[in-house]
Amino acid sequence: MTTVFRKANENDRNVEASLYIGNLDPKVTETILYELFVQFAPVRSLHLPKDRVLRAHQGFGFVEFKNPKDTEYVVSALKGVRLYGKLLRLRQLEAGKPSSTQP
Amino acid sequence: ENEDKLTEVKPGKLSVELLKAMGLPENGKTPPPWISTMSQIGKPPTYSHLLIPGIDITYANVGYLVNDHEVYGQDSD
Repeated sequence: MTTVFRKANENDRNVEASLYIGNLDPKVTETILYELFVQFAPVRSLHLPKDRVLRAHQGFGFVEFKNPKDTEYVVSALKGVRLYGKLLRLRQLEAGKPSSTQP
Repeated sequence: ENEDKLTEVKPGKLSVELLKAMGLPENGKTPPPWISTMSQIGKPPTYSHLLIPGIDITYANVGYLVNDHEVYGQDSD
């Protein structure tokens, strides 16, 4: 079984098939998010960056689907859905737009 | 996190952990909110060929079905 919970390699990640996930309660886990997204489409990778000291996620993450056509559907399907009372925020990553973290 | 549990994850079959996070009763008798959304926007493109409880058949927390009796994803790999 290939690893799902990993940081997608910048060169390998399909930006068009990826979503930013935000406004996550500290109780939300990668497993719960994986289960949630799998309701709508197969997940290729899912990653919540962790604080090095606290080893806890920081309220946001990224999910990559196998097919770019899935992202739009997932955003629509999860509109208004809350986890532990917090409204899930999903946003498409902008393909081709250079981000400030890239050289 | 432990990835071994992921092989048990089937679309349409929600774990107690996810039901709790959603604030839904643990008996799994209440459809998650995206079922009514699906009835408006259509089924997920990847699962359009499957029978989805709450859309195609009566809601139950059993998983999407390939046909009358076979649950999708039961035979992984």
